[in-house]
Amino acid sequence: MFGYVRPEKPDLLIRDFTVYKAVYCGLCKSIGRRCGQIPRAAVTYDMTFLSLLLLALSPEGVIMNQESCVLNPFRKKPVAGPDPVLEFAADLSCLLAFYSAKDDAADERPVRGRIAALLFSRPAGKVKKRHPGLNTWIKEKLDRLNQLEKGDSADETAACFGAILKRIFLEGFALVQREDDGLTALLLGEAAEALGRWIYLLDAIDDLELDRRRGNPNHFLALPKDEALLSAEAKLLEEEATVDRNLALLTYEQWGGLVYNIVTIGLPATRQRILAGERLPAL
Amino acid sequence: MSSNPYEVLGVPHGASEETVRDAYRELVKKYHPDQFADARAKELAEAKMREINAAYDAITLGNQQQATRPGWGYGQAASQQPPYGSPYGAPNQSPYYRSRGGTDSCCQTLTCLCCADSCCECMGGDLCLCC
Repeated sequence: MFGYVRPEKPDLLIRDFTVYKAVYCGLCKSIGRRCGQIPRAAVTYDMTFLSLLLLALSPEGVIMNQESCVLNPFRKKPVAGPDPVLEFAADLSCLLAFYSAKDDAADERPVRGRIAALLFSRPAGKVKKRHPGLNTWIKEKLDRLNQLEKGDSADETAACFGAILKRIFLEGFALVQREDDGLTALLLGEAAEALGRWIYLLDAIDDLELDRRRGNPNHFLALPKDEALLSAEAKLLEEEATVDRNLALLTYEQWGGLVYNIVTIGLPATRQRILAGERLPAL
Repeated sequence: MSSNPYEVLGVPHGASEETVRDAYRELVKKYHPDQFADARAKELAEAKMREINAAYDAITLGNQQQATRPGWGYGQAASQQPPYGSPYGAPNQSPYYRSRGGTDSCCQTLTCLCCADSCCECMGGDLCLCC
Protein backbone atom coordinates (compact mmCIF):
# COMPACT_ATOMS: atom_id res chain seq x y z
CA MET A 1 0.00 0.00 0.00
CA PHE A 2 1.10 3.58 0.22
CA GLY A 3 1.93 4.79 3.72
CA TYR A 4 -0.47 7.76 3.79
CA VAL A 5 -2.38 6.75 6.92
CA ARG A 6 0.03 7.80 9.65
CA PRO A 7 -0.03 9.57 12.98
CA GLU A 8 0.95 13.20 13.38
CA LYS A 9 3.97 12.79 15.62
CA PRO A 10 4.15 16.25 17.24
CA ASP A 11 0.60 15.77 18.55
CA LEU A 12 1.17 12.24 19.88
CA LEU A 13 1.56 11.40 23.53
CA ILE A 14 4.77 9.48 24.21
CA ARG A 15 2.78 6.50 25.50
CA ASP A 16 0.71 6.43 22.29
CA PHE A 17 3.84 6.65 20.19
CA THR A 18 5.30 3.70 22.11
CA VAL A 19 2.17 1.69 21.34
CA TYR A 20 2.33 2.70 17.69
CA LYS A 21 5.93 1.58 17.41
CA ALA A 22 5.15 -1.66 19.22
CA VAL A 23 2.35 -2.47 16.74
CA TYR A 24 4.59 -1.52 13.81
CA CYS A 25 7.37 -3.80 15.07
CA GLY A 26 4.83 -6.51 15.89
CA LEU A 27 3.48 -6.40 12.34
CA CYS A 28 7.01 -6.54 10.89
CA LYS A 29 7.89 -9.53 13.06
CA SER A 30 4.59 -11.26 12.19
CA ILE A 31 5.41 -10.88 8.50
CA GLY A 32 8.77 -12.49 9.28
CA ARG A 33 7.12 -15.42 11.03
CA ARG A 34 4.34 -15.94 8.47
CA CYS A 35 5.99 -15.13 5.16
CA GLY A 36 9.77 -15.10 5.62
CA GLN A 37 12.39 -12.45 6.19
CA ILE A 38 12.45 -10.69 2.81
CA PRO A 39 8.75 -9.68 2.79
CA ARG A 40 9.36 -7.80 6.06
CA ALA A 41 10.28 -4.92 3.77
CA ALA A 42 6.54 -4.74 2.95
CA VAL A 43 5.54 -3.41 6.37
CA THR A 44 3.57 -0.17 5.89
CA TYR A 45 1.93 2.53 8.01
CA ASP A 46 -1.44 1.73 6.44
CA MET A 47 -1.36 -1.88 7.54
CA THR A 48 -0.10 -0.77 10.95
CA PHE A 49 -3.24 1.38 11.16
CA LEU A 50 -5.42 -1.60 10.19
CA SER A 51 -3.83 -3.70 12.93
CA LEU A 52 -3.97 -1.10 15.64
CA LEU A 53 -7.54 -0.07 14.85
CA LEU A 54 -8.69 -3.70 15.09
CA LEU A 55 -6.64 -4.27 18.25
CA ALA A 56 -8.09 -1.06 19.74
CA LEU A 57 -11.55 -2.59 19.25
CA SER A 58 -10.51 -5.97 20.58
CA PRO A 59 -11.78 -6.77 24.10
CA GLU A 60 -8.88 -9.18 24.67
CA GLY A 61 -6.22 -6.60 23.87
CA VAL A 62 -2.79 -7.74 22.78
CA ILE A 63 0.32 -9.13 24.49
CA MET A 64 3.35 -6.83 24.59
CA ASN A 65 6.84 -8.34 24.91
CA GLN A 66 10.29 -6.80 25.15
CA GLU A 67 12.17 -8.02 22.10
CA SER A 68 15.19 -7.03 20.09
CA CYS A 69 15.33 -6.79 16.32
CA VAL A 70 17.84 -7.42 13.50
CA LEU A 71 18.08 -3.68 12.92
CA ASN A 72 18.77 -2.99 16.58
CA PRO A 73 20.01 -6.25 18.12
CA PHE A 74 21.26 -4.92 21.47
CA ARG A 75 18.31 -2.92 22.66
CA LYS A 76 15.03 -4.57 23.55
CA LYS A 77 11.84 -2.68 22.73
CA PRO A 78 8.14 -3.35 23.29
CA VAL A 79 6.73 -5.44 20.45
CA ALA A 80 3.06 -6.42 20.08
CA GLY A 81 1.94 -9.97 19.45
CA PRO A 82 1.87 -12.73 18.37
CA ASP A 83 -1.79 -12.11 17.66
CA PRO A 84 -4.31 -13.30 15.02
CA VAL A 85 -4.98 -9.70 13.94
CA LEU A 86 -1.29 -9.02 13.35
CA GLU A 87 -0.97 -12.30 11.47
CA PHE A 88 -3.91 -11.39 9.26
CA ALA A 89 -2.42 -7.94 8.59
CA ALA A 90 0.96 -9.57 7.91
CA ASP A 91 -0.55 -11.91 5.30
CA LEU A 92 -2.38 -9.05 3.66
CA SER A 93 0.75 -6.84 3.64
CA CYS A 94 2.62 -9.54 1.79
CA LEU A 95 -0.18 -10.25 -0.67
CA LEU A 96 -0.81 -6.58 -1.50
CA ALA A 97 2.92 -5.91 -1.86
CA PHE A 98 3.07 -8.75 -4.39
CA TYR A 99 0.16 -7.40 -6.43
CA SER A 100 1.55 -3.89 -6.25
CA ALA A 101 4.94 -5.13 -7.48
CA LYS A 102 3.27 -6.93 -10.37
CA ASP A 103 1.37 -3.76 -11.20
CA ASP A 104 4.64 -1.78 -11.15
CA ALA A 105 6.28 -4.34 -13.41
CA ALA A 106 3.46 -3.97 -15.92
CA ASP A 107 3.78 -0.23 -16.41
CA GLU A 108 5.44 2.18 -13.97
CA ARG A 109 8.78 0.66 -12.95
CA PRO A 110 9.53 -2.42 -15.05
CA VAL A 111 12.90 -3.43 -13.55
CA ARG A 112 12.19 -2.71 -9.89
CA GLY A 113 8.70 -4.15 -10.18
CA ARG A 114 9.90 -7.39 -11.71
CA ILE A 115 12.56 -7.95 -9.08
CA ALA A 116 10.08 -7.25 -6.27
CA ALA A 117 7.44 -9.50 -7.86
CA LEU A 118 10.00 -12.28 -8.07
CA LEU A 119 10.98 -11.90 -4.41
CA PHE A 120 7.36 -11.78 -3.25
CA SER A 121 5.93 -14.53 -5.43
CA ARG A 122 6.79 -17.45 -3.10
CA PRO A 123 5.61 -15.87 0.17
CA ALA A 124 2.51 -14.52 -1.60
CA GLY A 125 1.83 -18.05 -2.76
CA LYS A 126 1.73 -19.21 0.87
CA VAL A 127 -0.74 -16.44 1.71
CA LYS A 128 -2.93 -17.36 -1.26
CA LYS A 129 -3.21 -20.89 0.11
CA ARG A 130 -4.16 -19.59 3.54
CA HIS A 131 -6.84 -17.19 2.27
CA PRO A 132 -8.00 -18.63 -1.07
CA GLY A 133 -11.40 -16.92 -1.16
CA LEU A 134 -10.12 -13.50 -0.14
CA ASN A 135 -7.23 -13.73 -2.58
CA THR A 136 -9.45 -14.53 -5.57
CA TRP A 137 -11.80 -11.71 -4.64
CA ILE A 138 -8.98 -9.17 -4.22
CA LYS A 139 -7.42 -10.23 -7.50
CA GLU A 140 -10.70 -9.76 -9.35
CA LYS A 141 -11.19 -6.34 -7.79
CA LEU A 142 -7.64 -5.26 -8.63
CA ASP A 143 -8.13 -6.34 -12.26
CA ARG A 144 -11.32 -4.31 -12.34
CA LEU A 145 -9.41 -1.39 -10.80
CA ASN A 146 -6.83 -1.57 -13.57
CA GLN A 147 -9.58 -1.43 -16.19
CA LEU A 148 -11.32 1.46 -14.46
CA GLU A 149 -8.03 3.38 -14.25
CA LYS A 150 -7.99 3.59 -18.01
CA GLY A 151 -11.59 4.84 -18.06
CA ASP A 152 -12.64 8.35 -17.11
CA SER A 153 -14.31 8.16 -13.71
CA ALA A 154 -11.99 8.84 -10.78
CA ASP A 155 -14.84 8.29 -8.32
CA GLU A 156 -15.70 4.85 -9.64
CA THR A 157 -12.06 3.74 -9.49
CA ALA A 158 -11.66 5.11 -5.99
CA ALA A 159 -14.87 3.30 -4.97
CA CYS A 160 -13.39 0.04 -6.24
CA PHE A 161 -10.36 0.48 -4.01
CA GLY A 162 -12.70 1.46 -1.16
CA ALA A 163 -14.53 -1.84 -1.60
CA ILE A 164 -11.25 -3.77 -1.31
CA LEU A 165 -10.34 -1.99 1.91
CA LYS A 166 -13.83 -2.52 3.32
CA ARG A 167 -13.65 -6.26 2.82
CA ILE A 168 -10.15 -6.41 4.36
CA PHE A 169 -11.22 -4.41 7.43
CA LEU A 170 -14.35 -6.48 7.93
CA GLU A 171 -12.51 -9.81 7.58
CA GLY A 172 -10.05 -8.50 10.17
CA PHE A 173 -12.86 -7.36 12.44
CA ALA A 174 -14.35 -10.86 12.37
CA LEU A 175 -11.19 -11.97 14.21
CA VAL A 176 -11.72 -9.63 17.15
CA GLN A 177 -15.47 -9.36 17.68
CA ARG A 178 -16.76 -11.38 20.59
CA GLU A 179 -20.37 -11.67 19.51
CA ASP A 180 -21.93 -10.51 16.28
CA ASP A 181 -21.63 -6.74 16.47
CA GLY A 182 -23.51 -5.49 13.41
CA LEU A 183 -23.39 -1.80 14.23
CA THR A 184 -19.62 -1.66 14.73
CA ALA A 185 -19.13 -3.67 11.55
CA LEU A 186 -21.38 -1.25 9.68
CA LEU A 187 -19.58 1.87 10.92
CA LEU A 188 -16.17 0.27 10.42
CA GLY A 189 -17.10 -0.82 6.90
CA GLU A 190 -18.24 2.65 5.92
CA ALA A 191 -15.10 4.20 7.39
CA ALA A 192 -12.88 1.67 5.59
CA GLU A 193 -14.64 2.35 2.29
CA ALA A 194 -14.12 6.10 2.66
CA LEU A 195 -10.52 5.55 3.75
CA GLY A 196 -9.89 3.44 0.64
CA ARG A 197 -11.30 6.16 -1.60
CA TRP A 198 -9.19 8.73 0.28
CA ILE A 199 -5.99 6.71 -0.18
CA TYR A 200 -6.68 6.15 -3.87
CA LEU A 201 -7.41 9.83 -4.60
CA LEU A 202 -4.43 11.03 -2.58
CA ASP A 203 -2.16 8.59 -4.39
CA ALA A 204 -3.46 9.81 -7.75
CA ILE A 205 -2.65 13.42 -6.80
CA ASP A 206 0.74 12.43 -5.39
CA ASP A 207 1.67 10.66 -8.64
CA LEU A 208 0.25 13.39 -10.89
CA GLU A 209 3.57 14.80 -12.13
CA LEU A 210 5.17 11.38 -12.49
CA ASP A 211 2.20 10.07 -14.48
CA ARG A 212 2.24 13.20 -16.68
CA ARG A 213 5.90 12.59 -17.54
CA ARG A 214 5.58 8.87 -18.13
CA GLY A 215 2.21 8.94 -19.82
CA ASN A 216 0.57 6.64 -17.25
CA PRO A 217 -3.20 6.81 -16.83
CA ASN A 218 -4.34 9.30 -14.17
CA HIS A 219 -7.84 10.77 -13.99
CA PHE A 220 -6.62 14.13 -12.79
CA LEU A 221 -4.46 14.64 -15.89
CA ALA A 222 -7.59 15.68 -17.78
CA LEU A 223 -7.78 18.88 -15.70
CA PRO A 224 -5.28 21.73 -15.37
CA LYS A 225 -3.16 21.30 -12.25
CA ASP A 226 -4.91 23.94 -10.09
CA GLU A 227 -8.34 22.60 -10.87
CA ALA A 228 -7.18 19.03 -10.30
CA LEU A 229 -5.88 19.96 -6.84
CA LEU A 230 -9.07 21.81 -5.95
CA SER A 231 -11.34 19.01 -7.10
CA ALA A 232 -9.24 16.43 -5.27
CA GLU A 233 -9.19 18.52 -2.10
CA ALA A 234 -12.98 18.76 -2.00
CA LYS A 235 -13.31 14.99 -2.40
CA LEU A 236 -10.58 14.25 0.15
CA LEU A 237 -12.23 16.52 2.73
CA GLU A 238 -15.51 14.69 2.28
CA GLU A 239 -13.87 11.28 2.69
CA GLU A 240 -11.97 12.44 5.77
CA ALA A 241 -15.22 13.62 7.36
CA THR A 242 -16.85 10.25 6.65
CA VAL A 243 -13.96 8.29 8.15
CA ASP A 244 -13.84 10.55 11.19
CA ARG A 245 -17.61 10.53 11.75
CA ASN A 246 -17.88 6.74 11.63
CA LEU A 247 -14.79 5.91 13.67
CA ALA A 248 -15.68 8.53 16.29
CA LEU A 249 -18.90 6.64 17.07
CA LEU A 250 -17.12 3.38 17.87
CA THR A 251 -16.33 2.31 21.40
CA TYR A 252 -12.64 1.62 21.83
CA GLU A 253 -11.35 -0.88 24.36
CA GLN A 254 -7.92 0.80 24.32
CA TRP A 255 -5.77 3.23 22.33
CA GLY A 256 -8.64 5.57 21.41
CA GLY A 257 -6.28 8.55 21.64
CA LEU A 258 -3.95 7.01 19.09
CA VAL A 259 -6.80 6.29 16.66
CA TYR A 260 -8.00 9.86 17.18
CA ASN A 261 -4.54 11.21 16.37
CA ILE A 262 -4.25 9.25 13.14
CA VAL A 263 -7.79 9.89 11.92
CA THR A 264 -8.55 13.42 13.05
CA ILE A 265 -5.09 15.00 12.92
CA GLY A 266 -2.98 12.65 10.77
CA LEU A 267 -5.24 12.36 7.71
CA PRO A 268 -5.75 16.14 7.21
CA ALA A 269 -2.04 16.81 7.85
CA THR A 270 -1.00 14.23 5.25
CA ARG A 271 -3.54 15.58 2.77
CA GLN A 272 -2.22 19.14 3.21
CA ARG A 273 1.39 18.02 2.73
CA ILE A 274 0.65 16.02 -0.42
CA LEU A 275 -1.44 18.82 -1.95
CA ALA A 276 1.35 21.30 -1.19
CA GLY A 277 3.82 18.93 -2.85
CA GLU A 278 5.82 18.40 0.37
CA ARG A 279 7.50 15.19 1.43
CA LEU A 280 5.92 13.27 4.28
CA PRO A 281 8.06 13.47 7.42
CA ALA A 282 9.68 10.33 8.83
CA LEU A 283 8.19 9.01 12.07
CA MET B 1 -18.22 7.26 29.06
CA SER B 2 -16.61 10.13 30.85
CA SER B 3 -18.73 12.24 33.15
CA ASN B 4 -16.35 15.18 33.20
CA PRO B 5 -17.84 17.80 30.82
CA TYR B 6 -14.41 19.14 29.87
CA GLU B 7 -13.28 15.68 28.82
CA VAL B 8 -16.45 15.11 26.81
CA LEU B 9 -15.78 18.30 24.82
CA GLY B 10 -12.04 17.62 24.73
CA VAL B 11 -11.04 21.01 26.13
CA PRO B 12 -8.75 21.77 29.09
CA HIS B 13 -10.24 22.77 32.45
CA GLY B 14 -10.89 26.49 32.60
CA ALA B 15 -10.80 26.86 28.79
CA SER B 16 -12.17 30.16 27.52
CA GLU B 17 -15.82 30.36 26.48
CA GLU B 18 -14.72 30.71 22.89
CA THR B 19 -12.67 27.51 22.95
CA VAL B 20 -15.54 25.61 24.55
CA ARG B 21 -17.99 26.98 21.99
CA ASP B 22 -15.71 26.09 19.07
CA ALA B 23 -15.17 22.56 20.38
CA TYR B 24 -18.92 22.17 20.92
CA ARG B 25 -19.74 23.30 17.37
CA GLU B 26 -17.13 20.98 15.92
CA LEU B 27 -18.60 18.00 17.79
CA VAL B 28 -22.17 18.87 16.89
CA LYS B 29 -21.15 18.99 13.24
CA LYS B 30 -19.45 15.61 13.52
CA TYR B 31 -22.15 13.75 15.43
CA HIS B 32 -25.21 15.26 13.80
CA PRO B 33 -27.61 12.28 13.62
CA ASP B 34 -28.89 13.25 10.15
CA GLN B 35 -25.55 12.28 8.67
CA PHE B 36 -26.06 8.62 9.52
CA ALA B 37 -28.29 6.51 7.31
CA ASP B 38 -28.57 3.50 9.63
CA ALA B 39 -31.13 3.72 12.43
CA ARG B 40 -28.83 2.22 15.08
CA ALA B 41 -26.00 4.57 14.14
CA LYS B 42 -28.45 7.46 14.31
CA GLU B 43 -29.48 6.39 17.79
CA LEU B 44 -25.85 6.17 18.89
CA ALA B 45 -25.15 9.62 17.46
CA GLU B 46 -28.21 10.99 19.27
CA ALA B 47 -26.96 9.58 22.59
CA LYS B 48 -23.58 11.17 21.91
CA MET B 49 -25.28 14.48 21.09
CA ARG B 50 -27.20 14.37 24.37
CA GLU B 51 -23.94 13.83 26.21
CA ILE B 52 -22.25 16.70 24.36
CA ASN B 53 -25.19 19.04 24.95
CA ALA B 54 -25.24 18.18 28.65
CA ALA B 55 -21.51 18.80 28.91
CA TYR B 56 -21.79 22.14 27.11
CA ASP B 57 -24.67 23.21 29.33
CA ALA B 58 -22.77 22.14 32.43
CA ILE B 59 -19.72 24.18 31.46
CA THR B 60 -21.54 27.33 30.31
CA LEU B 61 -23.90 27.25 33.30
CA GLY B 62 -20.92 26.72 35.60
CA ASN B 63 -19.12 29.69 34.05
CA GLN B 64 -22.13 31.94 34.63
CA GLN B 65 -22.33 30.91 38.27
CA GLN B 66 -18.64 31.52 38.65
CA ALA B 67 -18.97 35.00 37.16
CA THR B 68 -21.61 36.02 39.74
CA ARG B 69 -19.66 34.51 42.63
CA PRO B 70 -17.27 36.92 44.38
CA GLY B 71 -14.34 34.51 44.43
CA TRP B 72 -13.11 31.04 45.34
CA GLY B 73 -14.48 30.45 48.85
CA TYR B 74 -12.43 28.44 51.30
CA GLY B 75 -15.26 25.94 51.78
CA GLN B 76 -15.63 24.96 48.13
CA ALA B 77 -11.97 24.90 47.23
CA ALA B 78 -11.29 21.45 48.61
CA SER B 79 -14.19 19.71 46.88
CA GLN B 80 -13.89 21.41 43.50
CA GLN B 81 -11.40 21.05 40.70
CA PRO B 82 -8.84 23.83 40.61
CA PRO B 83 -9.60 26.27 37.77
CA TYR B 84 -6.53 25.29 35.74
CA GLY B 85 -6.91 21.51 36.01
CA SER B 86 -4.27 18.93 35.24
CA PRO B 87 -2.77 19.23 31.78
CA TYR B 88 -2.13 15.47 31.67
CA GLY B 89 -5.75 14.45 32.02
CA ALA B 90 -7.12 11.60 34.08
CA PRO B 91 -5.23 8.31 33.57
CA ASN B 92 -8.09 6.28 32.14
CA GLN B 93 -10.42 8.80 30.58
CA SER B 94 -12.12 7.89 27.31
CA PRO B 95 -9.38 9.27 25.16
CA TYR B 96 -10.92 9.54 21.71
CA TYR B 97 -11.28 13.27 22.10
CA ARG B 98 -8.35 15.01 23.62
CA SER B 99 -7.57 18.61 24.21
CA ARG B 100 -5.56 20.50 21.71
CA GLY B 101 -4.95 23.55 23.90
CA GLY B 102 -6.84 26.86 23.70
CA THR B 103 -6.53 30.56 24.33
CA ASP B 104 -6.05 31.59 27.92
CA SER B 105 -8.76 33.77 29.40
CA CYS B 106 -6.27 35.21 31.92
CA CYS B 107 -4.16 36.52 29.06
CA GLN B 108 -7.21 38.19 27.54
CA THR B 109 -8.11 39.90 30.82
CA LEU B 110 -4.59 41.27 31.27
CA THR B 111 -4.55 42.58 27.70
CA CYS B 112 -7.86 44.37 28.32
CA LEU B 113 -6.51 45.91 31.54
CA CYS B 114 -3.35 47.05 29.76
CA CYS B 115 -5.35 48.70 26.95
CA ALA B 116 -7.72 50.38 29.40
CA ASP B 117 -4.78 51.68 31.45
CA SER B 118 -3.07 53.15 28.36
CA CYS B 119 -6.33 54.76 27.36
CA CYS B 120 -6.80 56.33 30.82
CA GLU B 121 -3.25 57.67 30.80
CA CYS B 122 -3.81 59.28 27.41
CA MET B 123 -6.85 61.04 28.86
CA GLY B 124 -4.65 62.32 31.69
CA GLY B 125 -5.88 59.96 34.39
CA ASP B 126 -4.76 56.64 35.81
CA LEU B 127 -6.75 53.40 35.78
CA CYS B 128 -5.31 52.31 39.10
CA LEU B 129 -6.44 55.57 40.76
CA CYS B 130 -9.83 55.43 39.01
CA CYS B 131 -10.60 52.01 40.49
